[in-house]
Amino acid sequence: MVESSDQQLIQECLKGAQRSFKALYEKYQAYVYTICVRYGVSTIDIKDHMQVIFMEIFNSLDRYDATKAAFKTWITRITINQILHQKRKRNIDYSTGGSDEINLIDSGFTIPVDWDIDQQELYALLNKMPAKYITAFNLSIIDGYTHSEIAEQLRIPESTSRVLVHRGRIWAMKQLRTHFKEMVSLFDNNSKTI
Amino acid sequence: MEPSQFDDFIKSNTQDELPVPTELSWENMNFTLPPAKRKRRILPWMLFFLIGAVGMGSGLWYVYQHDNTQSQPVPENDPIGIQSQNSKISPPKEDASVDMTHPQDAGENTITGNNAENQKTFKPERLAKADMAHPQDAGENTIPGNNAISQKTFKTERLAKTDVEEGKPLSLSQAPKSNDIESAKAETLSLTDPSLLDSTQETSPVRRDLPAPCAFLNVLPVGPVRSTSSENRLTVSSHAHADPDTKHAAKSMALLVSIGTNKAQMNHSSASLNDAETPAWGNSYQILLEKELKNNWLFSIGLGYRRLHSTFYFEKDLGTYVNFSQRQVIRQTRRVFHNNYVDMASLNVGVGKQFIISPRWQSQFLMYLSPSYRFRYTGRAIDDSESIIALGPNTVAQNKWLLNADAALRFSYSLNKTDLIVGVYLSQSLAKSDLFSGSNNTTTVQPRVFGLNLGIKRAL
Repeated sequence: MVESSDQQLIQECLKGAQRSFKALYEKYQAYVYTICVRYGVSTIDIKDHMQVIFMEIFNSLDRYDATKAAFKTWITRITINQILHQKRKRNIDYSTGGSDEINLIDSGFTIPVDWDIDQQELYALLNKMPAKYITAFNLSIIDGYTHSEIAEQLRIPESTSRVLVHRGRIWAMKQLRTHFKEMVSLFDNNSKTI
Repeated sequence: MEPSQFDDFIKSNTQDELPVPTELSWENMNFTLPPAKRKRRILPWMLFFLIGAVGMGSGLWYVYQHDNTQSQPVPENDPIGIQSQNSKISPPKEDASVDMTHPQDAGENTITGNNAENQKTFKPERLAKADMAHPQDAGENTIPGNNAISQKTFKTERLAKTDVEEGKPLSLSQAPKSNDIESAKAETLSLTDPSLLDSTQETSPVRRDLPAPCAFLNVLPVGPVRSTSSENRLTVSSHAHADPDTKHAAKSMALLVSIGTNKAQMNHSSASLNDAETPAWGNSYQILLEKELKNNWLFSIGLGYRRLHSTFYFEKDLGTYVNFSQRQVIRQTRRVFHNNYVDMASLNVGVGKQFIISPRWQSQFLMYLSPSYRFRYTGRAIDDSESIIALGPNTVAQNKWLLNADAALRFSYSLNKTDLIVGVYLSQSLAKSDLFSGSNNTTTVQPRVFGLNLGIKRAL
């Protein structure tokens, strides 16, 4: 079976074809789900988030302009905007008063080149990141937003965005180091056992 | 570890998609899917109104073209034809010396309340030296309560000297406009040589010879009943075939309301007088219920109302006479004008096929069978004694039913649950319907209606 292109699916959705909506959902549900997990949406809330995000996508299909952006990029923006919208409702405190995480960094730690981490493990680690860091961390490091864009999205000063991203990065490095050391020690123990 | 190295590590390990829990499958989600999106387009709207305008324009053009050809119904014994035949007679010189006088005053008598119109025209049928008398006295009878207009018009010509001398046929300088009351006036050509005039002059040459049945010669002035431009025009209000649906409005059941304007051909016939096939205008209103069947078939049922207004006449040639003393050729024609109204209600039942041109545009073609009941008819007709009678509930013949076969072509433009419709239709009465039924005279009508209509269809 030939997979319908995004444009065909969009056109059919605009004509009200239910089958095309389903195809569109099944094509992009994993992608949207991954973004939601990455931004720390809880397992309890993720279904509601998916519901809201895809409804927004379905209702906005007539406004999609293929000449301006790829459909996946357009979906990414809608997904992130919806996640941020939900986060705004929770009134997350993005203030940068504390600085203890910065002192936790071990400057001597480096990730081995051949070291790999399971993606689910990585997401599990990142999801432990404090809520005020994780959004800026994702926007900046993974999704490539500039600090001015992050500041606009989170309605915070640009300098705060820089601090949040920096602290999120340090926090993640610490978690990875801990995880790495655990893995190394586990590996060593296993080696001795063997 | 450098931040850039860390960022690259994070990016590279977050590119894959996570497996989705089954609780997030399509079946477990509760999406309220949006309806079909339609972008607002100006072009289809312009196209819709353009088609409507072109349709209306074509209809009007057709109507006026048809009016031009139908405005002068030609009876079987066309007086004009008689005139041209007689005009080939070459009168002897001495005939041309007859002095002719105008009998025009004969047509000016009035009968109050009469709408029918008698017109007498004299033409050169008889070249014998007959003693003619004006029949104006015979035309003074009154028909109470008659709305018809009677008029006698005398067409006279003086024989041109050159024609008489050279033996050329007599001819009328102007063919009478049988439907134009104002133009039905006496016209005279004068001989240029007085020496050719006969000494025995006839002052009232036509008066004695005209057969002039009294009932025919009732003379009325041209009343304000109609303008000359609207004479002979039947205004027929026929039912406009409301247009069925579009795809969206007729998915199950739809209600259609339409109004329309019609142009009809009314075929009036009477035994003693010549048939008159006259155009008519009218309006119609219709309300239909339509259901979409399988394979884009449509079933349509509803009620219609039409009002017909007809102004037409019967015409009879009364003969042609020559007044030699005045050198006049006089043709006499009787015309009985009618100003009639008919109201009809119809039950329209039809089926049709729908053709989807685009998501918003559809066309439909439907065939209807429409029994109609003529519940009112007012106006005039001719009875057995060739008198004008008023038609009413008691005089109208029993046959009040008409059966029409209709074909309708429609274009519709879909909005949200509403369709705008423009259409044309043709409705043909399958049989004649009697207006007056006597032993000698029967007046019947058999309308053929061409109409344009606009409608709105709403899904139920």
